[in-house]
Amino acid sequence: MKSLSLSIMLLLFAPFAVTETISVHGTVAQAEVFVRTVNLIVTSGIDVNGSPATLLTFHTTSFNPDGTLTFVIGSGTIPDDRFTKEGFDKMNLTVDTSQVAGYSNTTCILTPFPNFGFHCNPSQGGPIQVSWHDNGLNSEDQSRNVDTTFGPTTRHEQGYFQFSSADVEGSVVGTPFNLSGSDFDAFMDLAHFAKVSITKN
Amino acid sequence: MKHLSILVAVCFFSSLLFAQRTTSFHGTAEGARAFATINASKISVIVARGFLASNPATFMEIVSFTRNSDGSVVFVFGFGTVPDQAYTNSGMEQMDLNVDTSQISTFQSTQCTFTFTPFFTSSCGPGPSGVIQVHWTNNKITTQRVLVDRRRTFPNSVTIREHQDMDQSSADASGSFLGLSFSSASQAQVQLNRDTFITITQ
Repeated sequence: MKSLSLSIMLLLFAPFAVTETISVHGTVAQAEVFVRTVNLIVTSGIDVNGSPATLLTFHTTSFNPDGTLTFVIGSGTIPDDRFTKEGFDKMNLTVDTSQVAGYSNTTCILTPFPNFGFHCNPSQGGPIQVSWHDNGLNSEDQSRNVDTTFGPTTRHEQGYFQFSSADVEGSVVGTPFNLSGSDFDAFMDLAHFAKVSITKN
Repeated sequence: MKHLSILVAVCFFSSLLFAQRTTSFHGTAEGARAFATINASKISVIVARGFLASNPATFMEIVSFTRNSDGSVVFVFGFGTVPDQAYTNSGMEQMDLNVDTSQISTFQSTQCTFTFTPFFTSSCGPGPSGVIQVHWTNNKITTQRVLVDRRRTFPNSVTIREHQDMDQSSADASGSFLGLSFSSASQAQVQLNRDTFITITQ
């Protein structure tokens, strides 16, 4: 009986469960920043049709007095000319996600207690400007096969990545930051034989 | 990038002058790490349970970079085993590390100072010791399935090779690092290692 109930539930809800995946592959250039209030990764490579494509995922975090957290989340592809590189020493991202067709902007409230859960709604997005400069403090080679799940999205990274630590400054949807002299909070990466995908569940 | 090239050259020639030592740790259980900014210093702490030379052991690695106002950089790197009771956990929900490295003969640290103007100089010697204390609370916001081979090169002739096979979850972390306290780590994780290897060559 329990199996029958489960089957009926699956039949009822399956049509509404939409999974969407975007990806790039090949030789991939990537820049990232991980600070307490901003987490952002921009990745340029080749899409499934063989065309250049640039993926941008980010979230900003605000800590609310009642113990909940508010995340402004963005996920999707952006125009390639929004992410520029000067060799491997400087990278720059300038985009307004509210103006990019098809880009997913979401605001989620995370309630940690008593029942852990994300409650999400579509939101407006906004301007993002980030500049990375190689600071030479840390370099790292990684063969990566990593799945990262955050709220309703899972990011898959696979390939041979070369990381260089960077100084970084900018603003993400109204949250500014300026970070220098760090060997682990911001990186510029070059990846070979790579595949990076983002799946929205 | 110029600074990095000089540092790499220093590392290369240092390795020719001095015999290399290798330490290998095998992580097979709980672990944790935290990254924090304290004033002008960026610090990281890694702790894990597992085996060193087939013996059960708790391993700790610390790193700090401090950029001074004159542009010079002070780098501290320390690693070794710590007493098992220094690292405690309540499942994957809460973890604590509390150890005084000045009281442990199995932990070693090095400090190097690099200046870049008017010309490059470097000097290395024994690193500082003191209390490392971190409290982690699993916040479950981000979870990761990790299979990574990584190679890190630090500017004091230290190379760390890691094979990471683990699940990890984001965490809140606070604590103190050699007398400097931090109320919130910029990044922190609690980890469950399946088959992680850390090999340090210096």
